[in-house]
Amino acid sequence: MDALFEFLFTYRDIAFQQGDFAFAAPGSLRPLLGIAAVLAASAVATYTIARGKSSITDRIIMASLRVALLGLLVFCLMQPILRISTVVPQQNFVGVLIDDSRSMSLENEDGTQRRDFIEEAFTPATGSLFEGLSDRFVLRFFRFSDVADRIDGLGELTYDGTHTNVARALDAAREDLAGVPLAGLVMVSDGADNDDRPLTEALVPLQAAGVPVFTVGVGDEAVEPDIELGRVELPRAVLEGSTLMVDVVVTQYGFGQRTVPIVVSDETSILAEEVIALGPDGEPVVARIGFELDREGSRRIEFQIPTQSGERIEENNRRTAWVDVRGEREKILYYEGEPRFEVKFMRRAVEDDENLQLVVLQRTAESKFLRLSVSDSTELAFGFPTTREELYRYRALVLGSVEASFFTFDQLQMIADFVSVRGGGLLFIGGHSAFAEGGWIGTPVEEVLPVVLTEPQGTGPQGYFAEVRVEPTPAGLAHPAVQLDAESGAVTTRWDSLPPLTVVNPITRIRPGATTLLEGINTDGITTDRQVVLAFQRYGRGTSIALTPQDTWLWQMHADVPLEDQSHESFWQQMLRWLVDGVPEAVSVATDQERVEPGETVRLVATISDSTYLEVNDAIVTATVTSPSGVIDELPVDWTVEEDGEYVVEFRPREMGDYEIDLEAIRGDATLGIDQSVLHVARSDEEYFSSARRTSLLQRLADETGGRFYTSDNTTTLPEDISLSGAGVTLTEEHDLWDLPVIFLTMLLLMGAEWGFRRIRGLV
Amino acid sequence: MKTASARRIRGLGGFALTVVASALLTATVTHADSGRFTGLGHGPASTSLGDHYASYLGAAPTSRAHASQDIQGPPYDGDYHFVRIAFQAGRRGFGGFGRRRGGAMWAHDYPRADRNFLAILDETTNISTTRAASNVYTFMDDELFRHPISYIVEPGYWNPSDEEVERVGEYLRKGGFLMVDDFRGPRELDNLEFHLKRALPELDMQAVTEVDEIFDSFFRIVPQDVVPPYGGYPPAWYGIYEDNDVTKRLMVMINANNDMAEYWEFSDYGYYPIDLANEAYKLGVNYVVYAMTH
Repeated sequence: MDALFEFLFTYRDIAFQQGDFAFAAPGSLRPLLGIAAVLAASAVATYTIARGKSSITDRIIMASLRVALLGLLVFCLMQPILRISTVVPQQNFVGVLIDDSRSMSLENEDGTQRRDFIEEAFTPATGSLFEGLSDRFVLRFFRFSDVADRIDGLGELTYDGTHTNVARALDAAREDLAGVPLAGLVMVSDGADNDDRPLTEALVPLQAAGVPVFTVGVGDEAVEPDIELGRVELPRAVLEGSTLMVDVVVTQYGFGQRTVPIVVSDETSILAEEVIALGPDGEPVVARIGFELDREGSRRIEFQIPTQSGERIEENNRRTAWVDVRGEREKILYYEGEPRFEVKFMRRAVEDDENLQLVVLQRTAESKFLRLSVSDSTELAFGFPTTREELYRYRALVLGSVEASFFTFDQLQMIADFVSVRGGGLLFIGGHSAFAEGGWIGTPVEEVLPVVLTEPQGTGPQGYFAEVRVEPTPAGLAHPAVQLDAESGAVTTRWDSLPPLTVVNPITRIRPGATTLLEGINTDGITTDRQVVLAFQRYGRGTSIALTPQDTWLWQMHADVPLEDQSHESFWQQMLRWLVDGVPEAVSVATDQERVEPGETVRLVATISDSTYLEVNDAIVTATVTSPSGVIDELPVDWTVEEDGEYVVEFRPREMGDYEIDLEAIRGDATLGIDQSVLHVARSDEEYFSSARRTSLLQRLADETGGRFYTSDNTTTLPEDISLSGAGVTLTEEHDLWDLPVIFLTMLLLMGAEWGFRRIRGLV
Repeated sequence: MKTASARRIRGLGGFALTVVASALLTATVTHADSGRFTGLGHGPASTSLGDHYASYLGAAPTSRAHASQDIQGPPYDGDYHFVRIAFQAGRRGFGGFGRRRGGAMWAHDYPRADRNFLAILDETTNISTTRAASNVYTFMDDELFRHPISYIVEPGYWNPSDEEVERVGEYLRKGGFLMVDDFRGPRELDNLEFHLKRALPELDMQAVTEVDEIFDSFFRIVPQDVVPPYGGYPPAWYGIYEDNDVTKRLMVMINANNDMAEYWEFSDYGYYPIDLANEAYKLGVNYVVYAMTH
């Protein structure tokens, strides 16, 4: 097609795209246009007068053909030209950016490697592109992967980079060549960019400088047959003994809908194994895998699908993640307004959980309290906390059947702030004095709750009472808090086996943004509205949860529940663990990435608050970083100014392994708090994921900068195309267009058409 | 290691309980069923309800069948109910077929004691309960498992079948709490221990000391100050702890050589000194609060 175009128009299409069209006839064009008009008029007049035996239609067609021919003639007399800016040979530079990442070593379908094209095209003297480019331009070579730097020859390429960062590569080349006339950049890559930085950030300066980018895509657009274990997301830290529910995304090409196992393991043992059915080609399927982490420390969790016969890439069958399993004892305050069995059975359910301390403040009579599982004799000595410092010591708060009027307004506001400011978890349990029946409507706590409270129903002196059978919603089936420690797929069965509970707070609606995990079906067979049994929402920095039944202990005690059944224990352990999950400390530290390459810059971010969780900007914060070999660095962490309470420092780990980070925040003479974190320094396999050639990215890169996209087998015109790009030091050339073959052929066509028409119509 | 502690923040001053009890129980008597009062002492206050149930229990309870819904008391509503265990005084074991005439052994002091106690519990604590009536179940009743606190008397004459014993074990292991009252002498204690051992073979009956949380869960009680209403044996407190660990929960609380329900039944009649009746009520309140929180 391109050859035909070039035959008809003499020049390639890019010349017409880049060039300007003009007429070179001397003087004004008006006389020529006047002559054209006279000739056209006389032609029309001739056909009008000399009628003969022709019809009016015949005369219109013949006049039109003749006028078109005359018009083409006049067009040629006007001397049309094409003005093209072409670079001055050897006075312009071209930057050649070569992808040096691991994915360049992947094999193509024909058995060659992606990197083979580099050798073939850019080897000095013999390379197919090298010759064409070096004849016209001064070449500068760059390699890019995690970083981008200039190289003197192909020998410096290692194809071992663990990331492909296109934007950074473009920036580096543009900056390096900023002082020279730049005709364009040539990027040779598979386009498998795996950096989060928006490409636009790198494109804007190039567009402003008028530097076109010519991209050469290498590799296959589809890697087949292959299975890829895609995204796996785990929390950075969990409490020891927690059960995680992890979504694993699996995509395949060429393996049909076969079933494969996913194995989850840590350093010492297999944690879980799940068999999944693969979806159609290219369609990801999501597998939900649950497993328990019961050993304290930094744990390396690997997800793996065994390599299938004939797979193109083995490395993308596994994913690795790290989880900091914390063995701390999390303190939860449970305030119960009336003695009832929920207290006893909740305490029993978690008494063997060494990571949970359920402190109970039980009101046994008016102004009379029983304290259980307190740390010392002073804890809660004056009843429910009256200061934020006292309340914020707990990571979660459970409110049982207690009326809102028990609390002062300040205490109610404090409970709301406990969730929104401190980031604690709040669990509200059903009972005679809970929710609307406890007068919580209109209090600061009401809007914290995930459910909509309505005025109590007047259903007699005993109030509302209903028995509901509990079942998980679709969202609940996917939530770790309501899995009941059941085998995958057996969760619904387990819920079906549990006896019904009773509710005295009719709640059927949740707030916008809240999620229902459990709902209740009234056993009377008449009521159709479903009771919201368990719902939650994020509120500020924390989470609030509503559990509306009054007697979950029946799941333990009921005659239909076997003695050995652990549903009740599992439910409460998971519930309370969920309640404290992710609750922030006053002082906390984390790295912006959980795993980095050696030498990669890491951003250490600390948030510093006082005991009332007000952000502190004048603290002295120090991070002590211990390398795997034991080298200790003390880094001052500075306030960012932009964000209250946020402190940042950057550093570059050099060793492979785990870096321990201990952070201490001091204000005046007092220590505000300490925190620890772990940074994992290891090589990444990211290059093996989504590693098919990303033509769309390379095409966009070229289109938005005025360049062109090529595949590796179609680069012959690249040097000339750069010459015509107009960038750099250029000469303006004028090319006549009157002698284009396409004009001559069109004239012949018009004359032939008229002659043929006359013959057909018998007008000769 | 559990770090449980129970401390009273503020007690009810003096014994307002005394005044409350007198006033309340006067009202209670007027509402009570016209039970056949058989006189002061250990005699069973048989009622038509009690007789009905006792006659039903003439047949051995070998299945989970309910006796009759109308005699079991108010239906489950999530609140605390006083649950009395009915049983057939057997011929086997150390017991006998009832040592007294005129009523079932399980029904001693029933129902006045139960109602009086519920009235006191309702007035002195925040516990949501019903004052209308107590519930009566056998260990074979499924409904019993919706009431984790139960009360049994005259265990010296308790002679459960193997099936019942299994249910006792299940009830207690799941989280149930059993109050044992109204018996005296080593022979009856031995009978109780024998059957509890059948139900909980791995657990032992052991003395409950005065520092146990159960004596401090609501009122501060000095057990030595509790005087039995009659009988020639010194009062003693025994219990069965989970895992035989005294720091864990009490599953069974035994008032040996004592009869707190006797005080409850007649506290409004003036037969017993008010102070003694108070101690009996305090024990009951403490047991219930303890069992709801431990």
